[in-house]
Amino acid sequence: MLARHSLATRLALVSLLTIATIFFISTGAVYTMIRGILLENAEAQSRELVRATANQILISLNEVAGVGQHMAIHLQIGAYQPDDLFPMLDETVRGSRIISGANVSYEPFAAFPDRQYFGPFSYQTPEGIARMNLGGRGYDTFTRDWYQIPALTGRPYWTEPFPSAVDSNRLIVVYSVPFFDAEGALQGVIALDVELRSLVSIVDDVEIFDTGYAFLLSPTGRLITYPHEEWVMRESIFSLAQTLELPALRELGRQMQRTREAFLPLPTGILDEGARLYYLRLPELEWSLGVVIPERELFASIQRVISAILIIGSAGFLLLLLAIILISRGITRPLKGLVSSAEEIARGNLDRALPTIKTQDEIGDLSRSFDDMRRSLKDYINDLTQTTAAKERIESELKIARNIQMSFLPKRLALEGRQLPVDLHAELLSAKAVGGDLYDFFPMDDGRRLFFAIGDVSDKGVPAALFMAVTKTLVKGFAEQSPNPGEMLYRVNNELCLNNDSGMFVTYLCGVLDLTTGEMEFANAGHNPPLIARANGQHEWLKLPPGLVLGAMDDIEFPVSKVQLGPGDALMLYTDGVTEASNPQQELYGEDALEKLYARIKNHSAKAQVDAVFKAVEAHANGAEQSDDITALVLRYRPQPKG
Amino acid sequence: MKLSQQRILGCLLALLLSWVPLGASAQTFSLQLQWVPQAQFAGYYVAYDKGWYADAGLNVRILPHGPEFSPTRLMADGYVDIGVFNLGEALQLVDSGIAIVNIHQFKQTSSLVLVAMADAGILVPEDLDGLRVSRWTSFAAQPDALFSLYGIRPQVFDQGASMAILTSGAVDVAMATRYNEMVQLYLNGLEREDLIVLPLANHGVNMPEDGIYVRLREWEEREDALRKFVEISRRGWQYAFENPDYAVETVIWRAQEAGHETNEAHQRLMLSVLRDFYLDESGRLHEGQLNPNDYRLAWELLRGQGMVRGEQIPDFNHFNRR
Repeated sequence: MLARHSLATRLALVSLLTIATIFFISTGAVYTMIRGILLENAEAQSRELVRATANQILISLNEVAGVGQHMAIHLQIGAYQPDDLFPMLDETVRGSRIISGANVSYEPFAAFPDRQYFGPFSYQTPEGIARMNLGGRGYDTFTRDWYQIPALTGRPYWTEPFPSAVDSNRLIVVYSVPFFDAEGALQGVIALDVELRSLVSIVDDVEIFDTGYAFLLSPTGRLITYPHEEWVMRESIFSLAQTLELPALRELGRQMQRTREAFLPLPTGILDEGARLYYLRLPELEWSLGVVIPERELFASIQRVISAILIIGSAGFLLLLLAIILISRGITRPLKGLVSSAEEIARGNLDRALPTIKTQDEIGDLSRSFDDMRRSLKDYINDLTQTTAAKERIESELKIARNIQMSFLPKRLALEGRQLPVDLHAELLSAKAVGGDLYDFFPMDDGRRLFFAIGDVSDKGVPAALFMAVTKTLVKGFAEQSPNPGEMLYRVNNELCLNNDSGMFVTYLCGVLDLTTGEMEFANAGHNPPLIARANGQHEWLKLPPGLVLGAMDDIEFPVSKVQLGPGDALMLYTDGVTEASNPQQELYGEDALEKLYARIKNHSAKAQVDAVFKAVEAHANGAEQSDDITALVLRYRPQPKG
Repeated sequence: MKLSQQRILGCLLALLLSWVPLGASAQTFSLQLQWVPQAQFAGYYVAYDKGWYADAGLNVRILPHGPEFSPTRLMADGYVDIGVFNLGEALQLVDSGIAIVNIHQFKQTSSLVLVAMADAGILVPEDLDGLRVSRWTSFAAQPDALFSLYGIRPQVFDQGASMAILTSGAVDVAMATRYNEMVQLYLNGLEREDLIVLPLANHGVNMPEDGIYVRLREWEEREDALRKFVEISRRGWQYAFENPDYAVETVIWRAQEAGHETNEAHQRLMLSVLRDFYLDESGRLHEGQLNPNDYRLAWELLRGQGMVRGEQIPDFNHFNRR
């Protein structure tokens, strides 16, 4: 299909595809890079935020811890007596922004020998600071985490959030510090209540992006703050993982319990959209503070950048498309002109002028070359027309020449309606329109004798034909006057040698058969020996007397040989066009092949023998061009039986 | 403190209300459960919410329950008709002269375990020697018996309701039930491989839990109605295990009513752990018959710990009224 599209379309298609590929790859790269940068920024931003928030929480908590440890020291050095604690506890609650209750609980019977539970407790109420003694039946101080864990470990302890004993609607976390007597024996535990609300508000105030939020997890993974109100203090990251069937969330929870901080994708299933989480584990308290940033918002700016890139890119594409169309039009318009001119020229109209192209580019060059070609072609065709006309004329003349030449050759042997006692047939097949071979036969002495001959002029074509005509005419003229063939050849040769400037010559074999006696005289001027077949079935190459070709040298003798023919004896004369006919492999037909052929056909009629020879030569040539004239003459002596 | 007092007052008010006769033919029972509303009692809630008790002519009142309310104490004091508690606690009541009987025993095996963090390196009970071990005083019989049985002397501490005592490292070993605290630890992010668990029942100190107990006089007077109560409760349990969604929903509703924060994951896991204790391989409830051997073993464990003083083991057939 593409191949059928115009050059302009292909150019536009390939360029745009290439540029689109580059464009999308680079846009993808830009996207990935910006995304990475945004993630780094988000990480930095959330780290800052989380650390700042954590610091705010830690400042508050450190204040509490400071108060607790201060109290522990005072209790250990005996600065306060058990029955004198309330004023100090009241002051602690009143003087702190975030401590909502202060309590000193003594080990059983440690404060007073008769008091198992002694725990003076001052706490904030809307009406002011209230006092009570914590512990007793229904509230077993000693198995409460806030008491028992620091008591057993000897270290301060932050509890999980739990409802206050004095108001179950108030969630508190307790910081508790053990204190000891001089011997190091545990005396009791100081417990300072911090209302969760005051810590939570710090976290709730955190704002990150438009819909990002912060949350707080207790050491057991409980949600202390979270945007879903119904989850707060009820669900933990692990219970949610269980209910929502999110093993990845459980893994996250475990990771948050075990590593200090990280920035990672929030497992899917918690929010409806992809989000990033940054968390930090608060030291000592072991709470995890996290911020969640929806990726949609995080990557909103990328969407804008990418949209802008796409719009600019699309506009660029259109512009580019336009430019490509214009350029390719510029290229193809003159080409189209050239194409239509070329078609016109192809139809033969070489006079059609080419459209003028002024540009100095390849198209201009092409157009100019094309015009040169048109002009050369035109000249060439003019020449060709003239040459062809000349050639046609020559051919027509040659045709006439051939007709004339053929008319020289005798058609049949006849003497005023009398049948001569021979079966004779001869044929000539020219290599060119006008051949150089010849044959001849005619009766002499009123039919008592028969003259026959075969010859081959040294060249072919018109000069050969003319030479042949001359030879034939001379033979005809001298035959009757000469006593024998040798004498005749002597005369003809001398005539031919006269004015033979062209240096042409002819091989010639001729014989005179006495039709009454069968005696045959023959002379040879350089021609191939003929085959002779006897009526008794024998055949042989006829031995020829020596003799030079005619026309080469004057005044030379042509000895005469004689041979007696019996009834039925036959001769075959041929030119070297037969034996030297070659096939495409340049192999000659050869005299052996001719002799073998002759052995098979020698009893056939003269015409049949000539046909057979021609057929055999044609078969041998096997399509190769005929290079020489082919001529054969067969003669069989058939005297009338006497009596 | 104040909270507990309020709750007890509320409880008493509920008791008073429950005594108001509702109908001439209806049998009224007050039911005291052992701990806060949770899946441990799902069968009773389901039977109640489905109205099956009422349909059977039983006016069952499920009393407020939780750590403030000791079923054995309330039963001893005559405030409740039906109590759900442990065999050990029941035998202690009997030993103290309160004539109560076991009318059904759902759980044959104790779900109590001793649990430690994996790095405590405890493999066998002997490894507990010298370690800090906490246990609930009301369930002290089994662990204490275990210590005697293996001749070990850990430092023993009383344990509260939270597992922070273990996770904070305050003690090496704490006590837990499979269905509640073990689930709690799992939901605190601890995996099975983070913990070492010694099931008490596997170490010769089994004591069946969550039996249904009534005073002997009650049984003698209202045996038919109590048998009906047991039958309906069984139906409730069967339904709860077959319809955990419904059961968990009703448990959570009750927990919220009682102001006790819990979540679906916890209750659902609890119910699934209880399945193994309540149901046989075919998914049917166990027969509910107290095993005389478990009975004898429990008495001996208690006696060995000095938690009962009677010279003679009370007659099993007298105690067991299934």
